[in-house]
Amino acid sequence: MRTLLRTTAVATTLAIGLCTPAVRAQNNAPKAPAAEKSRTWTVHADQIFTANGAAIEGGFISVVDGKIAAIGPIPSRDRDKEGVLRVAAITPGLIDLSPNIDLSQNSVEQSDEITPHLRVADALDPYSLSFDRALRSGVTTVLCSPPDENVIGGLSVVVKTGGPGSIAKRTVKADAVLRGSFGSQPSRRNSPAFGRSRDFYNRRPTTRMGVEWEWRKAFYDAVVARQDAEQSFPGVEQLHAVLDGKLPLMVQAGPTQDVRTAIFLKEEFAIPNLILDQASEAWKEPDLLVRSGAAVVLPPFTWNGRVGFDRGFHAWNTALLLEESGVVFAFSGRDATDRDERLSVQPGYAMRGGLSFESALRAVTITPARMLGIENRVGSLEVGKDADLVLWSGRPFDFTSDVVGVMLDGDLVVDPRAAQ
Amino acid sequence: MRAVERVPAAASTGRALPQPAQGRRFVHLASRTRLGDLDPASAVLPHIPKDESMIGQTFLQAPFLLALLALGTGTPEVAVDAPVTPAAESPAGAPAARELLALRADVVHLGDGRTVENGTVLIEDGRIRAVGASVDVPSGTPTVQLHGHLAPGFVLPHSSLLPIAERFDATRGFLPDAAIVHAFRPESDALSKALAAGVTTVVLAPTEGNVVGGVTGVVKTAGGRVLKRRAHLALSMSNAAVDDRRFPTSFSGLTTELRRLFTAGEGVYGEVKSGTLPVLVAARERHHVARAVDLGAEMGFKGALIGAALAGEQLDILDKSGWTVVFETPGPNINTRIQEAMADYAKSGNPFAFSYVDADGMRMATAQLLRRGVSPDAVLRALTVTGAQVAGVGGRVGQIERGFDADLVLWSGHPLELSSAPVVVYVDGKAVHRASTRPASTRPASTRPASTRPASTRAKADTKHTGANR
Repeated sequence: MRTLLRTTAVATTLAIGLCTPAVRAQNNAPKAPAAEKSRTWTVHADQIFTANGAAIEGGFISVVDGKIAAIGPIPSRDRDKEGVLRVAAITPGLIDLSPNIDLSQNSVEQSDEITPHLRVADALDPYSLSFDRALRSGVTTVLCSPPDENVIGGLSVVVKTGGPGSIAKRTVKADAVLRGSFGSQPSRRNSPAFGRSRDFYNRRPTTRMGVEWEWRKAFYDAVVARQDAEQSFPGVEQLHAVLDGKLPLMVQAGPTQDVRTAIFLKEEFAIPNLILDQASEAWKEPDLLVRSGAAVVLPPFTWNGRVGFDRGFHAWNTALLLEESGVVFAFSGRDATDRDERLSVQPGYAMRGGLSFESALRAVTITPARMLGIENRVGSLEVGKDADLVLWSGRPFDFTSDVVGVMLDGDLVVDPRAAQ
Repeated sequence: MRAVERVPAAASTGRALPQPAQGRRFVHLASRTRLGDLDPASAVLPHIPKDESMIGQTFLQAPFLLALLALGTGTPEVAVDAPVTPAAESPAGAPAARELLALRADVVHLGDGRTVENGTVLIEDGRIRAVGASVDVPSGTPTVQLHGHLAPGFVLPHSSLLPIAERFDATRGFLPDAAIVHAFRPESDALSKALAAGVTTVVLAPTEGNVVGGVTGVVKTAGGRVLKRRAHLALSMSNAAVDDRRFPTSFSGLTTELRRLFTAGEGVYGEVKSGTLPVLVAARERHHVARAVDLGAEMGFKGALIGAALAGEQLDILDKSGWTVVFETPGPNINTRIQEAMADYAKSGNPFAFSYVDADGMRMATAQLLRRGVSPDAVLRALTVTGAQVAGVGGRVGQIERGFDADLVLWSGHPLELSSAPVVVYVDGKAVHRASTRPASTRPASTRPASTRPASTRAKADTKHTGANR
């Protein structure tokens, strides 16, 4: 009876294994032989960096149905095992909290500046090539945010960069943070208070002062609406969630003045959880950051150090300074000049500025995962987590190393054997 | 029971109207009169005679139907649909004059993929009574021998037939209470052209410029009849629906508002959620489609995706999803990627239909599919059975089957051949359109060159009338 059951199970597995890849192969250009679409693999590597402790020299990862089933040193009997992928190094799939995912121009809700209830998940294009670019460079999880044209743009979403053509099915965490912006981006292109308006709406604000006023008014109104339900407005629930610490607030704040403004807002309204995105000049206010407990997402490094919409100055040793101050930080690839290697090269640059390898690795894997509360699924290589792996040709982040393979949920999206 | 509805008299037939005072209407009537003055053999016939133009009018005027009503035994639909009984057994007092007509054709396409060679279609009072290779035709029934392929009139579950001003409101994104049948103008030139192309039933739909464009309607292209006054709720999730001159200007705003409206579930949104009102969702690009399918899954609705040209690249989410794709028919210049995606979708076995812009576009889009290896049966089914199902009139039109409306088109060759053309179009059993010229391909190769034949004989040459000329 037991044998019979097992045989049936094997037959069913075979049937599924045979059917599913056949359908997929029809739709997509076949990237791997059909049998390898089963999302079950064994990968051997000279070094495995789990981002959760020490590196494993001569390690293996066993992937079953898209999850990590086992990880550890290669048992001696398996050293010459056949049918195994072999690479130089493995890291967890990279996580980008401020990625370059294209949004169409139809992603800005111009009817209001404060739209906390809108979801960027409703505006994303799962077929956008920018997802594919990110995935092929090793970024497997991204936090997509509304564009920073509105003061409070709405809710960001954490998605995998590959998978089915449905944002809902790719979502790791919906409504992960509330996204907004300081600085001059939300005040540009808006209609003046006088003269002819470009659009149906006379949008506000048009100055940095106006942006700050919109922020404070939004939270003030939210506080008032707690007492008086008649004062409620669309998005008030999200603002309350931010005030209650249930929803992190992530803001774009590049130059020092915007970093300060954001922290003052946090302190004025006692916002528990603040993430400063593109905070290139955060290094100028380490004490304020430590006092506030805000986390930082750093922009990519540029040739002259100027970066972001407001051209903040991002020094090579920014990450090191934040590390030494005890500020939690992650790297991002937004607006990096290289379209194909945005995030994967940032740890290398930070190491040039003095950061340790382990800290640099954490800043693109487990730290961003913890900032969003998704570390139970992604961010490190542990049994039970998603099989999101980056396969490297040498030591990760070395200038002579490359991403040669990418696995997403057990799908070998980029096959390292093709590079050999 | 089938919905046979009257259009308001003002919108139905110009001929039955009192002369209106407005100059616009007057000009319009005058131009129509000129059309009617053309040689009936060569002109597109914009109307059928006024007394037969509307079931609704017939219903009011015909004494036998009134008698039926008085007896309380049923509705006009039941009377037409009922098994055919000899005249003597009809309800007392009803002059049970059944109008019979038999059409014989070389090939009869039933619409569901089956064909009958040398088939006969027996029509009774505008409905199909029987079809097959050997049909019992009552003696004395007028019979017409047709040479060519007889197919169901095409049913296109989305169209751009009405003028843009009637289908688009730039000031507001949401028009849940709009009903597009109010803009139906039966005598419009566009309808006549659709009829001449073999399209007998269309869904009138708003543009994709409004997020909620209103309620669509199903009409016949001849006779001014509205088959369904509230057929679908027309939604748009395409680029045109997010306009920077009114709310919403973003896909986030659009989806959030639709989610709010469907969650509240009032009015038409409640009808959609309860399944009584289907949806047509304009979704062109792949991300529009992905968004529509996700929102539908969240809010509990499925329907037809209008214009989803690349649906064939999205079978991972669309295969057996319950959604139907209605392809745009832009004409010959469809790019290769779209052609291949359309063909992939059609070959996947998932249901699809076509939108109507103009005759050439429709013919070219279908021909492109055949060129890419889609079976003619699948394409013909899309134009007939599936079209009718999506339109919500699946039990009534789109097939040559007992009980269906006798909306038939005689084609000079296979209906999907680009060189074929409609020769005669029947709606409700009446010949409402005859081609003015005979397609070149069907001229007999022998005998004399076509140019030497008198023009007047060309139109009639392929129909040999053995009975009353209808």
